[in-house]
Amino acid sequence: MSAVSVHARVEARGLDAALDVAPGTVVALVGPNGAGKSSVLQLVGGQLQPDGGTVSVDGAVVSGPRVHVPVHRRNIAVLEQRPLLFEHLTIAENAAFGLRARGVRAAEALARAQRELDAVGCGELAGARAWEVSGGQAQRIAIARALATDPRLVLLDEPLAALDVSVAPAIRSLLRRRIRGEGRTALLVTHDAVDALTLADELAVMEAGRVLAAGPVADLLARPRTPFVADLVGVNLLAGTATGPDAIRLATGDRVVGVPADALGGGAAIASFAPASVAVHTAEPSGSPRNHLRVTVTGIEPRGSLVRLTGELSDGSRVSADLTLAASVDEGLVPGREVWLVVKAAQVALYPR
Amino acid sequence: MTLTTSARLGDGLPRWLFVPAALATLFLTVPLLGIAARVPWAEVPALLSTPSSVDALALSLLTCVVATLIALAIGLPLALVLARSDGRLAGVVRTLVTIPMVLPPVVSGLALLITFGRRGVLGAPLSVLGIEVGFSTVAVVMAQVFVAMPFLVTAVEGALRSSGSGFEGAAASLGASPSYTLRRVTLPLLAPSIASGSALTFARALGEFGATITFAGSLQGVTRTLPLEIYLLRELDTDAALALALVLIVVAALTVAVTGWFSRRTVRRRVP
Repeated sequence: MSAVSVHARVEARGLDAALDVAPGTVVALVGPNGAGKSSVLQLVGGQLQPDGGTVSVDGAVVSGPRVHVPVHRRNIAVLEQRPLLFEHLTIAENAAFGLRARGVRAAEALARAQRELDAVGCGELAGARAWEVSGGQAQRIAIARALATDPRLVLLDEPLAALDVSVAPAIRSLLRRRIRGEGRTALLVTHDAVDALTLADELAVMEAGRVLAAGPVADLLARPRTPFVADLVGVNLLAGTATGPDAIRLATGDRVVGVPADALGGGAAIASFAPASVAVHTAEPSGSPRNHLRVTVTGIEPRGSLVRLTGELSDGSRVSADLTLAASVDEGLVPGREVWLVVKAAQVALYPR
Repeated sequence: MTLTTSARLGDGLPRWLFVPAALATLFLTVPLLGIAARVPWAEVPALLSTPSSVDALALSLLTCVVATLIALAIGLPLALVLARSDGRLAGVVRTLVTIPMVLPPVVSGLALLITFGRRGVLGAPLSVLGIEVGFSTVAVVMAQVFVAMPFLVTAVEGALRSSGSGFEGAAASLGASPSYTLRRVTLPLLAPSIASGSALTFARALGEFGATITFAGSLQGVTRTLPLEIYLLRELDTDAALALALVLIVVAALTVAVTGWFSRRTVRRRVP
């Protein structure tokens, strides 16, 4: 039985999503803006009603034809970018809020709240007010407040997006410990590959209101099949047609030779390679290496000690290459310039599509 | 937000702007100073304790408190509903209920008289049942609620709209029912705007003149509130009128101070 099962349509948002989550699994929903990730969360949380189909939690329909369990009866915790602590209550009263709303006596609720605050490292803030704590502390307290209700499911909508980069790693590891580490079922919306890799067991890739692919994080990231996942992982993805056991032909006519990760068959296939394995040449390379692509430079941007060059093939598909700053200056690499990108066949992974 | 340490004065503005600005300040303050200069300060206690003054003060206090309570009882729910509604119907209702705020009070009084007066649309059937509202203390309260309640509605609705529904959403996901959320989250967070909206409503009700005199008349101890008494006395007994006016000025100043304090308090709490 699935802990969460979404098979629902929301016409106004162009959403038609199918997703099943096994108990104790954390699923990261990834995809471009507007893909419908947050809508899926709202369908599960009850903030959004489907036009058709059903949403089930623990085998019971919570939204469907003539059924809509209201948000407050679903026992599903929500954590979003904003911690939304209640300003008129103390931190302890905030953490006890869910229990008090369920009719638990004040003393008992506050005792549980204190334990939850201790567990997120904010125990000493119990008497403070919401406007007296920092952004990172507020998000920790929001986590304590949500988990104090013993939710059967946790929905995380970019919980780290509004945090300072110096604070986010600590909150990420707190979430990892309290959500994934304690075997809770959760849905996570994120734009960050690190979040997906560290917090989730499975990945569901969404685009244009549909779930395109779902599966274990490692599988999907090792073989990214959509440009979005490729961007998420940071590898180059080129789509083409298999012309042999170890080669594909791109729409531009270029041939890309690589190592098949799966038997290619004869149909659509994808080549994937890391920007770091791409070399840049300003003249057509002699000795005809097996993979060389002629591109127009469209962007040069610093990435730490390196520079990432982005080039466009004649059909508009993009390839990135990482090189040293010195090399990019010496070679006079500026947008608009034509260059050849060379990548060794051994560095290219080929997947059937 | 922290207040700037050195007070600014017209920062970055052309200097000539100070001339019309000073003119506006003088125009709005000199008449009040004029009253202060003319008030027979030593006789104020005696002037305020004449039977007609005491009647007017007591009637105004009673009716304004009742009018403010009625506005809270029915205007606050209206503000909550409007703030959480969109669409044409909500827009139409919002427009209709704010009209009395900008309507000339005498027109409001006439509308109430035509509707609730002895031969009015609703007044006639009520009259058959033996209920007469026109020219009674009830009419005074009705006139005050009619002109003053929109101030509470707009103040609270505006505050609720700008604060968004995030806190209510968070409360619901924590398991709080809509009633529990209203009681423990929405209303406490709105307390500052409810307080300042109530103060504005009370002040507007206290100053009500046109609608009251049109709909309720001017009967000592029954419908003759402070503004009506002041109008009556302005030539007969100017000193008494000035003493009563002083009361209204003090209440007005208190209202401004209270609403200002609450709005500063809100700002301080929102921005750490």
